[in-house]
Amino acid sequence: MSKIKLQSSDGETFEVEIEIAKCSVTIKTMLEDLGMDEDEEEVVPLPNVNSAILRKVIQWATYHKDDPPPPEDDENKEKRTDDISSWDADFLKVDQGTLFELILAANYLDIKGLLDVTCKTVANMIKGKAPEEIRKTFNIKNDFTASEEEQVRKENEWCEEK
Amino acid sequence: MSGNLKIKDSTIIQLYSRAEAPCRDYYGLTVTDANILFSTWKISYGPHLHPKCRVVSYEDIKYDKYLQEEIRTTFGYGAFLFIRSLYNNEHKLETLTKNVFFYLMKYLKIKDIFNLAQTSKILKELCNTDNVWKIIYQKYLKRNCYPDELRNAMDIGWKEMAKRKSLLRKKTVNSINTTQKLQDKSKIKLKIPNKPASKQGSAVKLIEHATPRKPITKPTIPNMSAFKPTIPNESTGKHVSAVKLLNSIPDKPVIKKILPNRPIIKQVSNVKNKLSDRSLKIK
Repeated sequence: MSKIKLQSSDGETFEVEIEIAKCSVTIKTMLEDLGMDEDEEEVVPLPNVNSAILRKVIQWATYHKDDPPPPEDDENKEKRTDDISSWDADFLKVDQGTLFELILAANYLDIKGLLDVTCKTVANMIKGKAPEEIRKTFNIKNDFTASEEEQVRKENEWCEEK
Repeated sequence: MSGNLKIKDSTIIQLYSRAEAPCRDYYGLTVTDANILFSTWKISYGPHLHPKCRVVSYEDIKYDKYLQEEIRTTFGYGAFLFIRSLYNNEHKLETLTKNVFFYLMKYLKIKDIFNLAQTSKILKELCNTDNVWKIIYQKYLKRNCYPDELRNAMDIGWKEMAKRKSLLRKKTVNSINTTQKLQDKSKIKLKIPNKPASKQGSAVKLIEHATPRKPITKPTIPNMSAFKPTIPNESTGKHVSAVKLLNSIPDKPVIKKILPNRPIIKQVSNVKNKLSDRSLKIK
């Protein structure tokens, strides 16, 4: 199996099987566009991803390398957030900073499966919670005055009776 | 010109602020994914000045304590914290890139988006963009947008579109409710003449009387016409959606109409009990 070298923003290189690296659409198109020779010792620089996150992304991609490609999005349908596999749930038991970095890395590398599962995890942290609970979860500082908060609540009231 | 367009495209949020009376100085803060634009227009006291705009990169504002302080005093601590986490490259919910933030919104219910908007001023702005309102609009109608809706939204924005739709829906729901109340009233009138008859008739016969078929089907016809006057209130050129709305809503009253029958069944059982009591007494 031919391998490829990925270099993180802090200079660390990771040797990965090409098939695993290609689950990132960004890397896949990069290899195709540049026509990189598979025999050559090429290093793909990834300036937006640091080594800790890249290691996690590679770990995820290695586990999911045999997955079928995720289905196309149906905009119409309510997106489910409760279908996270137990392996993914364990994998994403990380601090919030890492979770958001993983989302950004998945977006940059264009790995739809990883982006979906990380967004679902964050969505589950928001769903069904009152504003005060959301503030606690994400450490958001409330900078509304009482009257401003009431006004925002009223502005968004029209939809509640649905 | 092209430079301006670029800035507009990559804008994350825009905040406005005005100095407290009697001052009228105007402040604007535009945060893009590379720069921070700080606009001031000091018009309170002469000589009259032109509006000024400072463009500062994240790297520069990191060391510009004066500008940080100015942002903190004019736009509040929340805005200052947001900008600080941007230039310090902190990874938070607020500092997710625009695309990712929209993608995340698609997984939430409308109620969740509104709850999120209530947490802080910055998140209120992030949830108040046209793109997020488009998501809300589609979630509200549970379908994709039609081409004519896309055209309308270019003029008035998705927030206005969503509000108009919700107003229209409220009106139709109200008209359903009023017609239903009328129906309920007519049913009460129907029940009263039935009661003396029940003394002689059996309980089974009473059920037949209490749920007459004709009075239920009849009011649906005036119901339909009650919808029509609401259509012209919607902006013109939306015949397709209006027709769909017409088709979809009259289903609801039919389902709801089953509900008013319940108390009648209860009454039937009451009468039944009374009847059995009486029959005992007679015996």
